[in-house]
Parts: sequence; structure tokens; C-alpha cells
Amino acid sequence: MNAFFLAAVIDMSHNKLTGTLRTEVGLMPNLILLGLNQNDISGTLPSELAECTSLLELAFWNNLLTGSLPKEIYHGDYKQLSALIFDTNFLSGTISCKF
Amino acid sequence: MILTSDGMLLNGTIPLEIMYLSNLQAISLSRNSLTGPIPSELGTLSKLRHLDLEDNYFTGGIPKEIVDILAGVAASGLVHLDLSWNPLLPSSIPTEIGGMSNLERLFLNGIELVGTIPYELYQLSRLGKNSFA
Repeated sequence: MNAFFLAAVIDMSHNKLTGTLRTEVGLMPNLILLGLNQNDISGTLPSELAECTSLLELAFWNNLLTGSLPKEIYHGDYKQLSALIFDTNFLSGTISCKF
Repeated sequence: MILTSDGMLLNGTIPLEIMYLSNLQAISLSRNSLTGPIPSELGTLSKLRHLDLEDNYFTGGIPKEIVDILAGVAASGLVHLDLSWNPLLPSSIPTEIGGMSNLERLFLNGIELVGTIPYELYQLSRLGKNSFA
């Protein structure tokens, strides 16, 4: 079986998922949408998100994220990124002017 | 062969006899009032690529048999899986989902999923990276 994983769209919003987003998310180069709105995802976002260069939307509205957005995502080679949604979390720190 | 009946007034369960429709490539029964468990017999439909059961009242969790069996179908496997908005389906994400190597679109919104995002979900994507390297 010549297995390959396209994983273009994963939306698991409006659930009760816990834990952190693992660094392995950086191994999903074809990911276009990652939707985890309305969950209990905690911790900081991994810098490996910068490797998800196909991302169009990253949606984490209403979770328990802490810390600052990883600097690396400001330097990610995104082709079509249009929405970073982090409303209603516990984020802190500064936002890069590169946006 | 496709079976679509979205947004109708269907109720009751998906009959197990659906397994005899062996040429089914797509099943779309979203926005109905279907109940009962999602039959694991769907896993025998080796040509099935698209399964949309969004917005119903299925119970009993995400059957591992479906994910497992479909993942084991060498030439096929689901591309599109939508089980969103089945409020009676509470479950965790089965780790077998990592075996669904053709999956492109996964929708599991609003089904009271608990637990963490399993490592397996990321694990198969590593193969993706290798394939496209």
C-alpha cells in the first residue's frame, strides 16, 4: 500500500478535546484548514506550525491557549494564509508587525 | 454508485443491508433524523470514498470497525468523512483513524469528543511529507 496522507481539512470544532497541539502538526504540509474552535486545547502553539505552509485558516476560537504566538509563524512560507483565529484564549505577548 | 438523501425527513436506522450495495462510492445522508449506531457493515463497502452523516442522531460512538476496515482497503479508503453534529454520538477520536491514508477531509464537529488529539492523526501525515518530498 503506497500510503500518503493529504489531510487537507480537519475540523473538530465544538467538542471537549483537551491537551496541547503537538509539534507533529508540522508534519502536515498539506493541511489547509485546522479547526479546533470551542474546545479545551491548552498550552502554547508549537513553532512547527510554520511548516504547515498550505494553511489557509487556523481556528482556535475559545480554547485555553497560553503564552505568545510562536515567532516562527511570522516567518512561515505560507502561500495562502488568510485567517488566524485565536479569540477568547489566554494568549499574551506581542504581535509581530510583519503581519 | 452514489446514495444521497440529504435534508429529508428520514428517521430510523441505516439498514444493515446497505452492505449489499457493494458499488457504493458515496453515501450522503446529512440533515435527517437517523438514529441508532452507525453500522459497522459500512466498512465492507470497499469502494466507499465519501461518507457524510452530518446532523443526525446517531449513537454509540465512532465505530472503530469502520475506521479500521476502511483503512485496510488497499486500493480505496475514505477521502471524505463527516460525522459532525450528531449530539448523541459522544466519543473519543479512534486511534485507528491514523490508518485512513486517503483521508483528505475530516469533520468531527460538535459530537462531544473528549480526550486529546491522538498521536496517530499526526503520524500518518509524516508519510505525506515523505511522499511529497
